[in-house]
Amino acid sequence: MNLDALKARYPWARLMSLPDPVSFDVLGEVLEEINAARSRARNDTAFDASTRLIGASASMDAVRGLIDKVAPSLATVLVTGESGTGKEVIARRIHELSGRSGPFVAVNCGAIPESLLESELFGHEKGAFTGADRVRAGRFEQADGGTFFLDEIGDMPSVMQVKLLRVLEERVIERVGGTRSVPVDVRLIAATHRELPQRIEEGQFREDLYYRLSVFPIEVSPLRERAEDVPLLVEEFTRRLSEKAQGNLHFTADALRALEGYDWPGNVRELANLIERLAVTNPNGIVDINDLPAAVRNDGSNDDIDIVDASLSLGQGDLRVSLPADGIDLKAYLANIEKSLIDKALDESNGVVQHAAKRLGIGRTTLVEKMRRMQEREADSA
Amino acid sequence: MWRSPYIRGDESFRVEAHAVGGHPRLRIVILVVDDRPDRADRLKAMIEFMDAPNVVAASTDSWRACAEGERLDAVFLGGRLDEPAVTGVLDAIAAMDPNVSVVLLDEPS
Repeated sequence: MNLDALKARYPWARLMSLPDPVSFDVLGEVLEEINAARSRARNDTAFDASTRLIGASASMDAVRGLIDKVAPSLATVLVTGESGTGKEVIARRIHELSGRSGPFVAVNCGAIPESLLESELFGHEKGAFTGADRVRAGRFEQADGGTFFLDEIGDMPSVMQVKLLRVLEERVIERVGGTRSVPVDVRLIAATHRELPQRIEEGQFREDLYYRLSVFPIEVSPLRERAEDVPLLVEEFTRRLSEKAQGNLHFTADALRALEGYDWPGNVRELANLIERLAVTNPNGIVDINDLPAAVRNDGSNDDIDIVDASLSLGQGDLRVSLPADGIDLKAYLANIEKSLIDKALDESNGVVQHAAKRLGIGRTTLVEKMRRMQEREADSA
Repeated sequence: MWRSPYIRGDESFRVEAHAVGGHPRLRIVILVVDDRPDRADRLKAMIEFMDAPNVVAASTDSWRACAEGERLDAVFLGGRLDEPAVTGVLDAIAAMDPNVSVVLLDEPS
């Protein structure tokens, strides 16, 4: 059975193939990818490693105040905010301060296929479906006595919304294939980056569930609206990397100013990923403004990207560019474009070289070689 | 981040990039399912050599017992397995944990 057929049959699965006999090099790439997936799944990145809320802005102070108020209660909390603002960190902090002795269990509703979500949340009885060869407790039961965090609740399928509403109202769950109601003692925290009132208007989210969830709403501001938090976050992420012996970065004043001025569409997660990547690309530890991606530097290099975007969207042969009267250094110009695209691909791939190479349509080894050359060029020009 | 133990000075970027702190051991948990014990053992040895010591090899008949109670990160499936064997393992993995990576070993042509 070939890989494509299996991918079609199991669209949720992270399927890869390896030639047999396998070489050390290829096996290394696969292990690296598995390790990266593991890190993402278990949230052990610099971004998620702590429940400490970093930031001195008024909005973060307000969030801390709300957490302190709600933590000791059993109230259901709805955390809203853009992707990457740290909604799970807030949920973990609430759990930490709640005094509940059970575990903190997190599930991302958007990451689990609809067909598996019910079994994942509520568990299943033996024989409930093909492959269910034993009874399995769901995440709700695993969180008994603790806190259950439902991330991306706005992406929950309608049929599951009904079942969740029942849990909230009756505090019991029913395993897939079972008939018995199992009582659960869980404190529920939900989060979403979506506008739930709008989802309700669109008929995508149940209004009654929304009111059940938003007993105590907490809204997290995007990072661009609290630029004063950026230096503190940089310091914190740098410290965490240093503790893990993954780098000892120091930022120049110009670099810090550029970081504060950037609008961070990926929010705190984007900042954390950038710092992890800088620790890899700047082994000497000094990060100057020129070490930052063009988009963050905001120094006009983005003009290059406009032309690249235009060329990529071309049908064929309709690229219009103007050449300055005094000419350009074509080699440097193209190298700059290449660096921008590689930076962007690495950003969008969370620093996983394998994925970035795929996005760029080149081999992993080629990308590593290009990164090495870029680094040499930067070292030469420094 | 993982770093290959066999890369030397030729690929200076990778070496420098991870130079601080020595070679960390991978904490990933891997199960190799293959009915050819020689191939399964060879792959297990290679994975262990690459600093991922938590790897177990098993046949299609015995893998469930090995997976019991483990939080697997990846399952490597031997290439000579027939379709029911592959789909049987995939269905069972889905019921256990849909986040597990599945790596299929291609048969040599």
